Amino acid sequence: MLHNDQLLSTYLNVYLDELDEQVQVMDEQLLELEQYGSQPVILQTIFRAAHTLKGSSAVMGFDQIKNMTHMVETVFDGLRSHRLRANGRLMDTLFRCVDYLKRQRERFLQGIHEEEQIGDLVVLLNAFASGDEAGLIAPDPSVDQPQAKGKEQTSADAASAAMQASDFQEGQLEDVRSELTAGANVHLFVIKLKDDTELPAARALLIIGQLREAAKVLAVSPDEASLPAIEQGTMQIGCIVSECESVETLKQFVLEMADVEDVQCSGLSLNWVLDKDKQPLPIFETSQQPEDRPRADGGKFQATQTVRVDVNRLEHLLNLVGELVIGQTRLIDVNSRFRALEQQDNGELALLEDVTGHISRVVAELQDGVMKTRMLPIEQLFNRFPRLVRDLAQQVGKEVDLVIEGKETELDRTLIEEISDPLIHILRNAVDHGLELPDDRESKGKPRKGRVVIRASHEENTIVIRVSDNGRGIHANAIRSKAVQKRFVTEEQAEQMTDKEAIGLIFHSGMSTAEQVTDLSGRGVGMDIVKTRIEKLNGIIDIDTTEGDGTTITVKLPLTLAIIRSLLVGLGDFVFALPIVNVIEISHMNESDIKTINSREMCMVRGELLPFVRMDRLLGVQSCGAGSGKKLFVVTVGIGEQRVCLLFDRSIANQEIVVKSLGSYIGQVPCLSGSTIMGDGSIALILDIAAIVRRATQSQQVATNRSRSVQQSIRSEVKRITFLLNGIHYGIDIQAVKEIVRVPDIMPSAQSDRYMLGLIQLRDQLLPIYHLGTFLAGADNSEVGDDQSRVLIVDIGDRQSGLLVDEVVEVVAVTKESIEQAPEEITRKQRAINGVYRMDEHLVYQLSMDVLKQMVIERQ
Amino acid sequence: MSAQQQYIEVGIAEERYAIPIQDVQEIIRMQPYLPIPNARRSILGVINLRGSIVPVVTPGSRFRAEESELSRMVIVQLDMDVVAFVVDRVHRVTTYNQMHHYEEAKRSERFITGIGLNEADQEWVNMLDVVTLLQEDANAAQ
Repeated sequence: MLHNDQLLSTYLNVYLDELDEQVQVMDEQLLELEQYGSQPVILQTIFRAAHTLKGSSAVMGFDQIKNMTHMVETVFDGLRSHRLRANGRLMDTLFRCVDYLKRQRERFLQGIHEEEQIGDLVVLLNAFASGDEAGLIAPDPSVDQPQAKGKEQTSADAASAAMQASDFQEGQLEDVRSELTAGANVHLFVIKLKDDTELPAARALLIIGQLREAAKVLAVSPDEASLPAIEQGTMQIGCIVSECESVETLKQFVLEMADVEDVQCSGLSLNWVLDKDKQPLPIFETSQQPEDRPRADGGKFQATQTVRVDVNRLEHLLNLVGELVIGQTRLIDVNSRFRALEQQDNGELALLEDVTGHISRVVAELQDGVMKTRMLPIEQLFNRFPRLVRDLAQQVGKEVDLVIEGKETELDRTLIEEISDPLIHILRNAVDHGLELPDDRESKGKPRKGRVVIRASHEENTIVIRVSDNGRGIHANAIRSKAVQKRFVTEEQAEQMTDKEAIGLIFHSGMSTAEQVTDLSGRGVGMDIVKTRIEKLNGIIDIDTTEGDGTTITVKLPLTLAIIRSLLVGLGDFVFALPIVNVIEISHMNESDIKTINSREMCMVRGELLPFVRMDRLLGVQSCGAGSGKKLFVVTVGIGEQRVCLLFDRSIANQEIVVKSLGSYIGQVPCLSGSTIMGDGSIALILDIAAIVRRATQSQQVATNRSRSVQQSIRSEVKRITFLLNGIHYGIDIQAVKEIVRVPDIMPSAQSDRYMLGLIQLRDQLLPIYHLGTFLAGADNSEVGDDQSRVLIVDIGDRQSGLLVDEVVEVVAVTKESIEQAPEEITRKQRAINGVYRMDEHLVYQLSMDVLKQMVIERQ
Repeated sequence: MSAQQQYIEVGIAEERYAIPIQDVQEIIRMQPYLPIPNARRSILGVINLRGSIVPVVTPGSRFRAEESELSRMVIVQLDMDVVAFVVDRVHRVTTYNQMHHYEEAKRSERFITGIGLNEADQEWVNMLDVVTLLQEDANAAQ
């Protein structure tokens, strides 16, 4: 026998799940009811939900809930039979009931097993149920005990109301039905034992036994087998009997038995048995056994068979699968190494390949399967939204049509919990700030009803959730002025921002543009928290808005946190992994695409100026060095709303990796979030994109905010190729040079002299090559080029020509201010020199390309 | 002091240290390790020890091994982590019949618990509490 407390703790979980499920059903159906009116299916579904809850609440001894759900049941019975009509007030009351149930569930979850006082809800419902709406206007506050009213309503049919056919076992009911169809007089006796009855189960058995002697007992509830499980407390037995001589005599007979407090009796009709859960009215407490009640057949909400598993166990399994994935990749690696060694076909090797292939497939499926156990459809979360949006819309006086798409999209359960708050916030923003009031909408030629679409989908290895509204959009200027007013930026800075940058300011903490602070949103602690939460999950958030047309907020999250798909990149001897969810684009750039702005490097990607980070410098790693002219391998990454370009040496692969922490001994390392073991047993380090982006943008913000204008600061800088001629550094504008090549074979021509060395072949063109040193210093061209020598290809006149120099040192950015006029003594001797600047410890003479060209043409 | 206690005698630079045998999980040959950019100085890098990531450490300048061909990694199990402690040489497993505990020494460096004498070759060694040493290094970083 279970003690009451034990019973509570054992069944509370089951009960809470049921409560959650049924409340969800009621919530949903009430919304539909409000939208589509009283359709039988909807009424029936709510009725069933209330009924189920009533039953299990009674079992758990939660009387308040039991009474309330009972009343809800009664009301819906009235609606179902067209005795009552639904109206706004009733709907609100019903929604309040659902809220009460939700609150109650929270209390239970917190370990408070006492129920909250129900207040006037039961009274209100009661009034509705009896069709006495007038009494609602001033409900009697003194009527706090719902039972009080219930008890007065004893009717002739009391017994059949106190117990329903569903309380009896199906097998026994068959007997009842056959007896009824045979035309027998069948009666239901509901016997209530006294509260202080000792060994109530034994007493009940005795009573049933005595009844059997007096009449034919067809059915007993609770059935005799489960009776001994009933402990002390109020107890009620239902007996269906036939072939009794007189109902009154039998009733009297039972009343005289020991410990019997009350007996209700009523005749039964076939209807009662067939329509199992009909017409219940509050009489006295029913204590039902859950297994006695066949579940409502509402197939839509029938739970699939499930096993509850501790999350930690799943976690452990997932880790093991992770190990397996590593082992399997290694196996493939070993396999391919053997394959490389063996040239001809080898039976053993083929076998190994077979096994490897098989194991790979199984492991892949196993991984998939284990991952799926952690996955839940996002439906769980999305189902809360219709109600949320309805309430909010009502509060702010807007009409909203909420469209939900992709409910079935599955994601990691931990993620579902984590994104719930941010998503709710985004939705609230959409309804509260995004959509206009119905009248405003109409005046703008939009439909009165605003539309909010929330859509979840899988895109590659990520989950994408989009919330879009067709409201007023975000006013970039409003944000600008707000930011200035709140002193986040200066007026000047605000003006220089692009619209996209300005809109990005809504992620700044303390930013709120709503003219009025409403109950639900607009307290200015919104989007920055949303952003932080999403960044914590390694996600990305993006805002796309058109003024007047609406806003779309896109949230991109990794599918799961334990095994991630990643981009592997090489840097020197290192292999680094970037979570693919953060990788936005891979591109190749030229060194000249990198601009230096306020001593920060930036580059242009798809029209956006982004911070450029040389990872070798950031990590202090030796890069294998990109030679001049080589394309740069650049990865654009993002977190939250920020984007940064990272420079690596090369890309390696796109691979699934198992995240391993570096361990607490190493602790937090800047810019690294973990490590992983690769197929060949080597280790790759996982980059902490959030940290890298934070570093890059923090220093960036100072830089961009300070600059008068981005474009202008680019202009004030010029790129110079620095080269050596006879030990002197010269600089030349990079724009003038088309190409820098090694010295090819020089074919002497008839015109060759110490200025013009001959012809060189560049691809399929013959170009003249000039010795620049001769022009500048009149030096002899005794040694024509060594390993260091280079040819600068430039346009002279209408054709390309080559200029031979001793060595190209570097390409540097020089600010215009640092270039000074060359001293007159020098310019007099060499008119090509038009400036001089300092680079490290030496002076660089700047050459004017135009003058040089002039000199060459003069020579010809 | 129990004569039964066994120690592993290792050499780092010029000195010898004795590590209680129960503190050592295993000793492996020096392996190529992957340096960790931006990690603190005592961490040389990480190795893959049968599927786990294990940090390779030389805590403090005093224990900076020279990574000669003879170098070994002493694998030590701490509370939460397994750590590879680099030494120049591993001499032997032995017991000590004479041990001196210096309170002085302990006060300045808690991980040196005393000095032991091996009678066979009359060598003096430092008794090293490697777990404390490594834990101090880990704590210092936090």
